[in-house]
Amino acid sequence: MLIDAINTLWSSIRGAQYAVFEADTSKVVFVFDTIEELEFRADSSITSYPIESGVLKTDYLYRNPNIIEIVGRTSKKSLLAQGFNFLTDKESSIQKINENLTTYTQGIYNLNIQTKIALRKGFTLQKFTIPENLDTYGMLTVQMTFQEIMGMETTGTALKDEFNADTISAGIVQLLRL
Amino acid sequence: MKYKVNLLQIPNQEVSFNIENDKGFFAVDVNLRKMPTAGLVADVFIDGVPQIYGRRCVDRMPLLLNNNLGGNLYFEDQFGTIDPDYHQFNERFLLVYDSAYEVSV
Repeated sequence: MLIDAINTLWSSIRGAQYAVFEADTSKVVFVFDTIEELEFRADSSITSYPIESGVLKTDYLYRNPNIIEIVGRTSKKSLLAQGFNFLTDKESSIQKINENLTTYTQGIYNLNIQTKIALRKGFTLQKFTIPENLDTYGMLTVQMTFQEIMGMETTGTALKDEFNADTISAGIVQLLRL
Repeated sequence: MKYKVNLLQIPNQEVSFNIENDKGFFAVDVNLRKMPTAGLVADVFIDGVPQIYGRRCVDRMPLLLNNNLGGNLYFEDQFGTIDPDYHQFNERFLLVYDSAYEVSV
């Protein structure tokens, strides 16, 4: 119990927090007041084919891209912001989130996501939802879905097939007697 | 006499080596390229002169169709009769220079 409390306190002091940032530039992409929920999902598909005895025979398993779902909230004018108005500019923060959401859904961006458990690498923003209802009154709530980028090297660069790989010179090599 | 040519374990590569035999001294260049469906193909140059372009690399089949080199080059599967695959170059699949291999032309 005590260790738990100390651990929580230590995590808070060290600032172990959620972060979504670009892998190449380390630029932080989304800043929320709080991350209400984060879910990491991994799954795979198993393929099968029917055989004569009338059952399906399993033959292969392939991995599907991992998914991270994040629900982030930012108040339009938080208590903190009211107290330190000169430090925080909530309106521009919300605007920035909106701009980035639009930008990052229009292409594949290599994003890393720091959760409290692990650093998840190589995700791109697949979709987002901004619900506006009684619960979210006066608050920007964003539900974001990030999907793992499979077979990508860097932003927008697909991995080459092996037959399209660059020709590499091995130089002058030695002959070894068999 | 048989010699093994050291290759990189990559799909597309250029490799050069020197051969000295009774016929003289030769600088050999071999370009290997992985094809999408047809395995591996090779271009072979002797002293900068192209001997063959796009020759399919098949297990124990000579790459050269002439005797300009004084011997021949071929891929050899050490553990079977499979055509070469770059993942196992030097370990299973050897590019062999065989000085005694003369083709009938």
